Amino acid sequence: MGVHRFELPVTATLRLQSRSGKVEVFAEPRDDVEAEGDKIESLFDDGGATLRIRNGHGHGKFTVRCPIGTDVTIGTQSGAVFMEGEFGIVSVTTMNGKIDVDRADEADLRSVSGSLTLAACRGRCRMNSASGSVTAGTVGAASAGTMSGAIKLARVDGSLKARSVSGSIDAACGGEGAIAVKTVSGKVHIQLPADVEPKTRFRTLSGRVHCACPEGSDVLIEAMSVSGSIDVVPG
Amino acid sequence: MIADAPAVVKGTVMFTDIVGFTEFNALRGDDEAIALLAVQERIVREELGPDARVVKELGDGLMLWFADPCDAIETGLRLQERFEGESFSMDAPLWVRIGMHSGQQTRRGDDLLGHDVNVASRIVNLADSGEVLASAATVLSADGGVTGVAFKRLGPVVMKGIPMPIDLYRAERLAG
Repeated sequence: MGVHRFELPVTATLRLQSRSGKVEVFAEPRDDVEAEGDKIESLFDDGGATLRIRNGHGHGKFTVRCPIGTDVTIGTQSGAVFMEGEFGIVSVTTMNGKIDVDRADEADLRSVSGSLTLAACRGRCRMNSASGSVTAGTVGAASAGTMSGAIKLARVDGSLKARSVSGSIDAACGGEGAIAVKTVSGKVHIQLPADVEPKTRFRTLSGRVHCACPEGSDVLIEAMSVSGSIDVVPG
Repeated sequence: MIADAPAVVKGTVMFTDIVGFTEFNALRGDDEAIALLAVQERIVREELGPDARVVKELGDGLMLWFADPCDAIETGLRLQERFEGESFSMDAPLWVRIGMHSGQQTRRGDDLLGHDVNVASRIVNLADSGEVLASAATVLSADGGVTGVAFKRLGPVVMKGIPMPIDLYRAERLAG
């Protein structure tokens, strides 16, 4: 294990790569980047706009510390990814590991089987896991998809697109953006502010549909299910 | 020298996969499931150009081949638009994810095999329904030949059995 330090141009993106070890990234008050791992390899790419750092052996723990607000892209096969602090645009892809991100301006999180957690995101977040759960705190706008995992979004200020196969979808929306939800057999529960009157388009083959909000035209809700129930309730 | 050495071709391999097909089949039965597959295949065949073909059916998905990466990207986006519209009008989950990768493939009869086929098959697993994901090899091969399309870089993806990380992009229509 060794610690390496890099100067990071203000506008640069950090691209991190590992294979199976845990990846930890901390955004903290500093100007440089510090990487600790096993046989660290690095290079500046895209004319200096990207700093690529690779955990050479790719199996041990990989820890990186960077300035607050840094754009970070991470690719790993099966290691868990943990990001603490406030980041810029975040993109994380792993085949099997879970992903846990603290705060970001925008986020794109993908895992084939790991669960995804995002505490807060100012802009749009896109979260997709085949079998893991998807959980987010307050986000600007969201696009979330799972197969069997549950989707739980504490607060979506803007538009929402969510799709599950058998997992439940539970989201509290601010009523400021269109809502489109699809499920095969999962339960859908959407909460809106009490004073929002949505225009609804529900399509289901055999699921129960219920909207407790008065019909209006404040926001469009499109929900489609095969057998899952759809509930829209005032908060 | 092997007399019948397999021919190597260059092109783009695309995989489609219907999300939630198994559950839909269990809930609605074989007839509706088969009908859903038939709709997918009909739309695909309608959208394929002369320099593209269906290589094979894979349960609830298809493997396609395109001579031109630009054609593959354009067709992938058109397919998603058609799937979305058809899903809404037929009240059925024609929710399809698409992944593609360009390189060389080895022909074995009508089938295509090889490393670049394996990469394409891995990429589709990372796509959400409605999405078109393409490797950097496809995006670079297209070389700006696709207009009105943005490629959002997702970063390096380390895939099981694939020694080098693959840079992935999400293709999406530019608004307007």
